[in-house]
Amino acid sequence: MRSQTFVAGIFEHPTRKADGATVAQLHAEVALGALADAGLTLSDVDGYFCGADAPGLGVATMAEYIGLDRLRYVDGTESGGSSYLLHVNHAARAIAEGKCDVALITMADTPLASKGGLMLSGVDRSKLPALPYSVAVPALPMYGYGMVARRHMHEFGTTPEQLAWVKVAASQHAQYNPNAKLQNVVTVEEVLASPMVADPLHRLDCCVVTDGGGALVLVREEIARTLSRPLVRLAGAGEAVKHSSGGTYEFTSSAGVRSGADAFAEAGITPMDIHYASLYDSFTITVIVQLEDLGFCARGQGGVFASNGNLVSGVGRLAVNTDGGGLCNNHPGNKGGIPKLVEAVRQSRGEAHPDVQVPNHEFTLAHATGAMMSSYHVAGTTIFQAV
Amino acid sequence: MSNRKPARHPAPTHVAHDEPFWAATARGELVIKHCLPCDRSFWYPRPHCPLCGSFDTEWRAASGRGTVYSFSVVANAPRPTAVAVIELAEGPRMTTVVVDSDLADLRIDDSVIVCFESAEDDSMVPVFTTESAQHARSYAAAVLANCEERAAVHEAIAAPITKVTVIGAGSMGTGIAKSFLSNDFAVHLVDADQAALERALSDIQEYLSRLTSKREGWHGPTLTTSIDIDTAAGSQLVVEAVWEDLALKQEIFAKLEAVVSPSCILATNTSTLDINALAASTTHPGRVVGMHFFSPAHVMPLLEIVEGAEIRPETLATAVAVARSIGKTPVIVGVCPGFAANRMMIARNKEAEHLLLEGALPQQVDRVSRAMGLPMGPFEMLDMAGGIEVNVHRRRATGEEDWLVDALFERGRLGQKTGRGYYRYKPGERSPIPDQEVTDLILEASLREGIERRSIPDQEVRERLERVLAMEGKALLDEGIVARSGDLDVIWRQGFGWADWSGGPMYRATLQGWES
Repeated sequence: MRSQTFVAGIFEHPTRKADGATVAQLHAEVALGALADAGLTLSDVDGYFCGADAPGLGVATMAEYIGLDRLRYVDGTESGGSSYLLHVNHAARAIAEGKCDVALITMADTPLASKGGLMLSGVDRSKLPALPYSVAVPALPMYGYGMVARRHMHEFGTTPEQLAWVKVAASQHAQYNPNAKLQNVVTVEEVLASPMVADPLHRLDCCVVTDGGGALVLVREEIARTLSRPLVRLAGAGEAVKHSSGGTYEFTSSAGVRSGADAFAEAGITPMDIHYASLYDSFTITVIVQLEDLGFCARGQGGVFASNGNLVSGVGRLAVNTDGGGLCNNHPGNKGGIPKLVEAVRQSRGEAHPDVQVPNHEFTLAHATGAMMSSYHVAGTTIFQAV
Repeated sequence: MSNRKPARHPAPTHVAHDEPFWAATARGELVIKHCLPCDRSFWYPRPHCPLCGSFDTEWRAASGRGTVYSFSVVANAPRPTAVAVIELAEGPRMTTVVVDSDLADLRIDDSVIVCFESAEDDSMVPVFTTESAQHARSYAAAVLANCEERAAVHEAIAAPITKVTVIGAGSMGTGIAKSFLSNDFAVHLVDADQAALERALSDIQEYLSRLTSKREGWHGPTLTTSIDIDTAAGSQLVVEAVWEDLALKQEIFAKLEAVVSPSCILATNTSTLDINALAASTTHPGRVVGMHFFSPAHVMPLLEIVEGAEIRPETLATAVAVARSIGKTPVIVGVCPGFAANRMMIARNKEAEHLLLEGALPQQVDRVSRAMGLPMGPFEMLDMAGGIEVNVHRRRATGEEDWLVDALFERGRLGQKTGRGYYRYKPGERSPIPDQEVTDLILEASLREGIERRSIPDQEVRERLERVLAMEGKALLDEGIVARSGDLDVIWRQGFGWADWSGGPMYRATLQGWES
């Protein structure tokens, strides 16, 4: 069945350090920002989606604070950075089934202003079932992704230079984004010269930590056609989970293999039809693995694909993260899903910065990997179509 | 750091079903869950099998052996730590850590074995170490035991010691006095400077009161002090620890000989002077011996017993026995500049300085040195011990030139005590912070030497430091200064804290095939 869900509004909070603001306040600001972009109001919203970054009881607390009083469909799915791509998928099903007409997705958090560190807020680690057997293990994500990078290098000959190209491409784009946390262009040499933090990952292989957030408004087609924004249809979506499977796992591919296949099948297109992709870039290696998982290149060729300049808009075959991505622009609350969706929609609308806008393309893709690729994670893929 | 005890891990939450797991780790065994219907082992433990859903599972002993599936090295960890996924010999892969191993050499597929460390609730937590680290540890334990066995032989002809006099109330003399006092030797401390004596006295008394509160029923032996060297009369052992000046030491030994009995042993803590020249100036050269302590003297376990040309066997035996009875590891060395430990360290430091001129920075050399298994690198150590000033004074005597060290000295960069040396230090803190002024001086030094700087890979830095240590160690063996190659590894372990997982400089040389 052809998806009837359209993206009506998007908003990325311009802050990167929200001193003095509450998390609830940021949720409201991004909600109202996306509704204004769509040309809708609070009273139009009847579906609401948020993750564990929302304080208190999530959907209930936020509905009350923001002022959403017509809700008939809510979803508090939390899957780390990919939560909001799952929300898009879930909202599309709800809209298709007539359970809601205007779906609002919000995300906001303040790890810097509230000194929350690198952990996800609202997620209780103390009862994790594996925890008693891993008390000696530093739990920071960079070590998990460092292991993924090392294994990828071992199996496919991927090099630190190839990983660095992902950051180089992101920095090429970030120079045009006045809100990006890091706007300086960097070279492969500079990435390799930055301090080693989780060997083989250098500091510049890691994303930024920022405060902020963003929101999307999804509506059914009839409503979208009454609004004055460019029409962007959700053409396909997929989600999948992969984990350690009792210790039988390998981690040179992710759940993106399955979430991507589902999304492409639903959209009825292939990776060759995509010329812009927002790919989750918690670390440079994350992008390399996802390029392979989604079929943009062969297994093991992600490093070569990146180092051939393919990720740079106007240069390569697949522009990636033209906002500067999590590596340079924004990774609010240690969850980069919302900026991924927002930039893909900007690209579909033709509203990306002129220096990085991909010309004449019909489809864009956004993809995220939530939690940790080396233990368990949830992938979400969405494909948008400019109509 | 190298020989430091690991911090205790956070306490794991215990649940009813995994009681056998913790009972096994307490015995030093790893057990894993096995599913009977699907005949597969899985990780981590849980009552049901995540591979087929059956509750028909049992605990089985695991070999504790495995191979590295992948790993990521934790930067700036207090001891070598890599987060790793280990594939157990029994099949399942587990996320864990590899610790106390040579991580610069760690590779995927390397063999590892389980070991257990305590958590805050005394549970034993499984972690892994490499087989090569385990081999190095066995070696380190064996050479230490061998060194101590050979030392024990001397006890048969050692003279009894009841009164020890320490001459010199500086930091070394104070530390030496503490070593004796904490091991129940009465100490008489002599220094011509009353103020120095009072400073030492209050420092030692504070130290003893800490010990008294820790040791039940222990009151500590007698400590007396004097500004009059004649009060050394009646001692069986005098340890001299005054400023490094041969004439001064000769004068002190002459004064001592006038008051002590002919059997009293005269020991010197000199680290640079010729003990044969000092002995020759006495009337009984056979009773002169070097007892070279390492700073801080009451902490570091190494004691170099320096055997002069005319030493009597009883003197040597007594010095060795005394060293053992104050808890030190005595290593007998011959007379040469720097003896064994410092001679190797000076050679290593020279190479380190040359690496700076060629393109390295202090922070790289020090980082690589820590990765080799040392608690600190050469430049951190020089800053801590005031090595820049020592270097300048030493070269005033020899006329040797060193523009970089002079430049640091002239700018008041004397190390931690002035807050600036090869690094800068925040007031009251000891962690080194790289300093642009030092980098600029190093660049200028390279320019003055006409050396074109290049980026030096970590591996080359390590190999050059290890090679120079191996070469100096080989020279010490060839010259007969030290009896056995293993003794040099004991020296670096007990004197400078070289980590057991890396064996020692001579062990490393053997691994590299540099024996000749």
